[in-house]
Amino acid sequence: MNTPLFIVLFTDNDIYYGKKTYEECGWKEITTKPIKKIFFRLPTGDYIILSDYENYYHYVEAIKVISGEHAGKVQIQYAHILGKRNQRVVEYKINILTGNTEVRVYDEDNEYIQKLNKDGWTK
Amino acid sequence: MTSLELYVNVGDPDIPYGETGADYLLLDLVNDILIWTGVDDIVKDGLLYDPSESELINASPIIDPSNPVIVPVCLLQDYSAGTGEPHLRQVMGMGEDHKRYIFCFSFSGATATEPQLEAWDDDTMLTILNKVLGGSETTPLENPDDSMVLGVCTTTDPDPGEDWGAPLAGNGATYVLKLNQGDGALTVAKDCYANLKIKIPANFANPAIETFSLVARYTFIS
Repeated sequence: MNTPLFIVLFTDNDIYYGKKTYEECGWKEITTKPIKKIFFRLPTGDYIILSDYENYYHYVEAIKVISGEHAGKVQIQYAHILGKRNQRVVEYKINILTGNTEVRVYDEDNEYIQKLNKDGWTK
Repeated sequence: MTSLELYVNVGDPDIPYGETGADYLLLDLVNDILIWTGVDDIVKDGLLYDPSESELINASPIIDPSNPVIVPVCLLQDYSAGTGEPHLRQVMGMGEDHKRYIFCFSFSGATATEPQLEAWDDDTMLTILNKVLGGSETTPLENPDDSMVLGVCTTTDPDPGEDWGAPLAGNGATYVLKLNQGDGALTVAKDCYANLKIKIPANFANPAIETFSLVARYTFIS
């Protein structure tokens, strides 16, 4: 799609446009300014909106086939976008092939959340 | 974007990838083939041509009526080998006790979560019905506890010990192999290590030719 994967609206009304692909989407280049909202593109072309979280996180989930009929195949399967507020984390897990989206809620001290690479959280 | 390459140790299984004296081969996953097989005079390390189907069948391990059989040899069939070069190289230490540096999963950068290895019938990653993965013709059809494919992560473990191995089948939490020893995401580029083996139950009643898929699942922040 020829639109940004996500758009960040900061509290000072500045806007940051992510890049267009999952492989290089520009998440790590988001500045440290406070964020008001993030618009995240779904495979359908619609956007989901996360707003008023203290921190946000995005990562991509891929598989690489090591052995078997299609060995060597690399496929991006899911995009994850998370928002953290008041010791709770909401995760949207987006199947980029089907567009189906699962929503999960975790306590901040959940093992999965604790073991995420902390460099991915916005400041 | 973090990428993954897989190396296999064809030298001393006590030496990690990249260290002095190490001898690893980068897998061409599209063209190279891993062959789990028995001890044989023809199908073995150094063979100068691709083995025929009949040679592979003759070399295959024999099911034991009384004891489980651990498939003793893993060979890399090297697609790019030229005339006069070995087409088969033995993956040293595969399946052996106390051997750590066998399969090297080399990640080019950090990950968001801990990478893991999974085993499935095929790369649609929907079923585990192959007998080698514990599949049955009676209910329940899927029995991951009975998978013959066993793995151990040795990234930080200095010695996997004896009789190691947890069954790999599907993506249930206890049936995948975490490649960073359960310590979570990779914060920098890292080489992760694992050893694998195939253990055939005693008197197993369903010998078969089956192709299953090993799949590495990893994440990255882009």
